[in-house]
Amino acid sequence: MIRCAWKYLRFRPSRSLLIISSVALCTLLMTFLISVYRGVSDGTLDYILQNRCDLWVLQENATNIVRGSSILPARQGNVLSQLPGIDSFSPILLSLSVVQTPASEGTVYLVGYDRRKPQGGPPRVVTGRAIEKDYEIVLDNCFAAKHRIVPGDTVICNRQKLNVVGLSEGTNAFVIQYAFVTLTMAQRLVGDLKIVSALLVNADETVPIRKLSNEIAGRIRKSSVFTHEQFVAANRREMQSGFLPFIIAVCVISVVVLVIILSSLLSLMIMERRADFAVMKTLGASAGFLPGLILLVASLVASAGIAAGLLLFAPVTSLIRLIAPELRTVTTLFELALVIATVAATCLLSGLFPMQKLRTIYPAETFQ
Amino acid sequence: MTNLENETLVEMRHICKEFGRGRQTTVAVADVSFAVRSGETAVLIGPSGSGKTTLLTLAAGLTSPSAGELYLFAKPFDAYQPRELQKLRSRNIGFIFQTFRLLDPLTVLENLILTGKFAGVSRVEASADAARLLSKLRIENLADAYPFQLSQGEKQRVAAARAMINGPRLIIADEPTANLESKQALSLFELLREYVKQSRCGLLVATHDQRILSFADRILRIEDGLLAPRVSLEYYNQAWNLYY
Repeated sequence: MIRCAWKYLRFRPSRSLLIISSVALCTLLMTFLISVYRGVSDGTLDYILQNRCDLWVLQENATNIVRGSSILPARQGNVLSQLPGIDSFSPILLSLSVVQTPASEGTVYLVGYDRRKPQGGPPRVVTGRAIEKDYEIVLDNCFAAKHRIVPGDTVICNRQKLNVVGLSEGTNAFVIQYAFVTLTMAQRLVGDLKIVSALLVNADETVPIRKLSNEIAGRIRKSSVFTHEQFVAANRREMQSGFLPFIIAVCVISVVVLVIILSSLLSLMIMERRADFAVMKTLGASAGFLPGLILLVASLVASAGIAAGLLLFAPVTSLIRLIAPELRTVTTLFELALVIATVAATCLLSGLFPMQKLRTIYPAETFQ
Repeated sequence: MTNLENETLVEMRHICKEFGRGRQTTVAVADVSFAVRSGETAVLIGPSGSGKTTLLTLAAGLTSPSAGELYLFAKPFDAYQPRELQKLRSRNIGFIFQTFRLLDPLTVLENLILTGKFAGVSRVEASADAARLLSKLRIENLADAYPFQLSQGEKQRVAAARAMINGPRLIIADEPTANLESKQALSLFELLREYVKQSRCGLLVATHDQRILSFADRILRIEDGLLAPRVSLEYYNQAWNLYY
């Protein structure tokens, strides 16, 4: 039956190519979107994940740094230094800033951190080095590629000249990229305000985290305290609520479009070969033969389309990254399997609708 | 035990077939009785719309009669389940259609193999049977050709081969020579006649073609859904020109 299905598919090569292309494009689109989502997800959370600490202290009602802001007086650090059970704490200041080069400009998520403290810096510096003093900046490598900046260049941020000393990785949140300066530089850039956005606390091994969390919340007024896991989860939720519905909507639309295209083309094939199917019924094809044939055609289309879509994924992504270097894609086997299963199920579902047409084909038609 | 020499393959008793309902009712066949036996060639003749095709579809078990008794291979039509009718067609009946109805996307060999597979034969076996049959009909060179690459005569020989591949007990042919030249038509009927003689199967043919009446053991003339009284071949040969 496979040979028969293949022959029917091959009989109209241009139409079959059209059907397979639809499946391939749908596979490509879904794989691409999910990979971008994973890339954004990883890029957005990488900074938080890599700066692992026991507790995150933020402004009251602030739950995340992905889509929210937090301002705490810098002096709150003094409160922490007086609290027993704290091994270390790292203040960071986050602000949106415009980085200018002679040729272009772009917005970065500027992170000011104290390099003498254990946390707050870039997850990985891949080119150059980390900052050592004020007036130095580490940029995300994708941002740098997009704006053609290399270590040694000078950029302007809030009228301050900053020397680019390194490029970091794991700091690309797709819509925005992180950049790193000293905490004092960051405070200067926001108008010499003695503020921080968050305090990353490491507890003594002997102190229960929950107890320390309650103690910090009691001592620092109008603050929110999260364990690392809670903070990661809150940021992930925030990132998903902003991005995931869009990805799901586009994937659902592409699946619906694929079902419509595939059903229409398979229906067309059935109606065009109506006489053949009537002959098969007359010759004694079993009740399951023709539906099986249509499902096999749909399966062949799915296999060829999925294979083509996956083969196209790498070159198309590379091509897109030439235009948008900040685009980061991460593909996992699970998500790849999910896309394959979704597209395959969609193809089989598309084969079910035209199958109804088989019922309207009568064997006696062969004698007309 | 079935007597293959005189086995009744199809028997119609006072068969009536109507299409539509109420005022729209059309009587295609009215009170028709006849039988086709093994080793017999029965030819249905009559003008267009006389009910020939309806009788063929009844004989193939593709439609049910509106009234009367229909027996297919000695079993009442009503006693067949749809699945049994499907098996009956795939294993016991061969079909030749007016417009060949070969499956264009498949090669000649694949057309035959598919029909063999419908009859429950394995692919390997069906393939061997098909090759043997094509060789016997001297069209083995067409095995890998597609139907659209064949001449009318070649198509009809392939159609005949397809009708024979499942070793049928009855061949039903609808205007099999309509698109053939005289020589091709006679050649096809010689082929079918030889097969009927050898296999002792029955052959029921609906035709307008006077050239093939000489092959008939029995001629059934149908007009306005009614069978005319049985008459001789000579009568038809003389009367033919009056009708056509």
